[in-house]
Amino acid sequence: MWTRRRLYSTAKATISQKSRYKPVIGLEVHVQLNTLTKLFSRCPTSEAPPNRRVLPFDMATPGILPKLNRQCVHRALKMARILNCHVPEWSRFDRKHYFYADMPAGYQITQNERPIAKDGVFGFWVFDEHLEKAYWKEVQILQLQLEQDSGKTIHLTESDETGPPKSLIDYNRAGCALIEIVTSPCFETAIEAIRFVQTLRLLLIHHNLCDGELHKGHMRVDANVSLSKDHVEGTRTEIKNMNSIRTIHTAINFEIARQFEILSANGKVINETRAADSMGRTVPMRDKEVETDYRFMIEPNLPKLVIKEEWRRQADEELEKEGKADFEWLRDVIGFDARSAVHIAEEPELLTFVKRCVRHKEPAVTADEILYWMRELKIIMQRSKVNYPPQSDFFAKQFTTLISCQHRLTRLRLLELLRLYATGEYVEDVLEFIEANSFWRITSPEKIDEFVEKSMKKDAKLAGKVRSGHAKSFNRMRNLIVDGSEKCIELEDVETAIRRFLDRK
Amino acid sequence: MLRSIIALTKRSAHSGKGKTKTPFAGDEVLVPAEPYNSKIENSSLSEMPPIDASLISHLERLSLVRFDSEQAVANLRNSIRMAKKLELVDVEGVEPMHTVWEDQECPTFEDIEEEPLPIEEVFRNATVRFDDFFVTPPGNVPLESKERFDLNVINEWDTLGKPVAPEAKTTRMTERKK
Repeated sequence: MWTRRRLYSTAKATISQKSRYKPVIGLEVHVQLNTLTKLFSRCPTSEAPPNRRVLPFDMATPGILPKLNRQCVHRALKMARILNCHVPEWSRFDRKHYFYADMPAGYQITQNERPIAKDGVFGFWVFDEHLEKAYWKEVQILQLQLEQDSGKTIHLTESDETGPPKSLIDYNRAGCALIEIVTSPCFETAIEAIRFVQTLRLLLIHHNLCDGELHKGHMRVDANVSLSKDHVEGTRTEIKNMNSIRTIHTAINFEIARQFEILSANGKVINETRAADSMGRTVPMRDKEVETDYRFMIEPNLPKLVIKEEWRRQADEELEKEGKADFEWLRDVIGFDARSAVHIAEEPELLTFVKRCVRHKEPAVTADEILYWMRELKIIMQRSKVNYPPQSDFFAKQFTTLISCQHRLTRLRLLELLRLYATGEYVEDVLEFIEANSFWRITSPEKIDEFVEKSMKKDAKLAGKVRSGHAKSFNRMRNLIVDGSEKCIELEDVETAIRRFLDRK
Repeated sequence: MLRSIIALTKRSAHSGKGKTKTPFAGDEVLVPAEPYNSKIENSSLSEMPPIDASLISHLERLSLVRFDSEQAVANLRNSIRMAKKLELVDVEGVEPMHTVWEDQECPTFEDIEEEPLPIEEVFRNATVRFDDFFVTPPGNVPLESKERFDLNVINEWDTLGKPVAPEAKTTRMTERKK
């Protein structure tokens, strides 16, 4: 058992011992395909109240045969290409037996021995706020298997209203098409695992394979976690059914910490299935510790699935047509860093804004410059209590124009213009607006000196303090001059000019 | 399959020879009237597994059929012996057959929706119904956790990052500092 007391006793040993352990993580990602009908029946997959999306096959009515959905095969072939897998000439289906109420046939039709695709490799960037430099990671994909989803179960505890504890079953999801992606145990941290899932998600959405809403269960992730000690493999546990990026991260780290605590106290990790609770803790799921006997057998009702040359070609052509995903385009073509590219692509509104900026921008404006000014813009808009990012194409155009003029404007003037355009109802082209008001940065020393002289004369009292070397007064005078110039002189330029003025007198 | 063997095992314990029937009157009966007794000696078979309580309960759980008498267990033993005889068949280099349709290719169907069953049809065989759900005995509920939760301890394992969980999705811009 894992107790609070043990934590304190091991806390000291932790640092020296930790380096001997290495987390080993493998993932199984269940991707719900966004086909119109289920994998083996033509029952619609659209959302509906409980048990409204059921055909006889889906509830295992005897005598109904499976009818394989061609679109599911097509999507599997596309996914195989994305994950650089090998697609054998033919594949086959197997029955995996469970006895759960949400699996009405008593078995799941899946692919065990002869999956539709295998031996892939998938590369992605690993980045994090606290990670100095993003790095490229490649994972081995063991196989892709087409399989049926189960129904949904709601557990009801005992109550006066509903009587003894019971499970309620909804078969709407039963028989929906899944592709399970099995990776080799090659992830070393939870961050690597979540970056893999995030990247995969964006690709699946882009190529129209999956709707990608994790909270709706479109992608469910199982993680196999173990700790190897001095390069000796440890016993692994499996965390089932995680459906948010945050949960995947926390639960994997929780499980690693839990196993470390057991192992460092000379305990034994039990091979078991665990679930992640709402906090991300992992909890034992099945009370039996004996390994489940799935009694795999070849599905007799489905002959060999021979992959036609034409199907492969169609998959390739479609991928070709769909081109790069937004995050890849932002990263590889426009030059955003891996992290920003993914974050922008994950936010539809932000993505729309950035796409507009890219369309309007001068070629010389870099991705880093756009990012820098977007951050400034965000602060401005939040302070003015308006929604970020801006929705209009007009604004995006003015925004990029301002960025390309950033060296001909003072920083304060630029920020002020951003504020005006982001919060006001300006419809005038920003260049015309700048021209009309002569907002260009004043760089000529003579002109700046004029401003300084004028202000020093105007406020003789303050000028006296500036002369005596009072720092605060110096700053005050500087600010007055900047304001007097309508923010058209850069702060540093004013400071130099005041010093010049003081030296002269 | 296991289930059917056990079911057969049970039935053979107390049923005699019935009247032979064919789907269509006048068809030839292909099943021999008398059982064929194998001439293979039991001594040439591989060793029988010990049939103990744990194996019985394992088989009961898999097949969902209860062994209700000693006779049923004896019949199981006979069935295993029968299967053991098959081990003597030479299958060297022979790919196991799994269907009689081996030369056929799996047909595929277009992704076109059909009308799902009306809800009353779906529930026609259900004895218990709760609103629009089927009802079953409670199963596979994750156990409660009383374990403490300290993100700092947990995330120390992310050698990459600081001990914080990643932010939930926000519109926060996360670009590098310029």
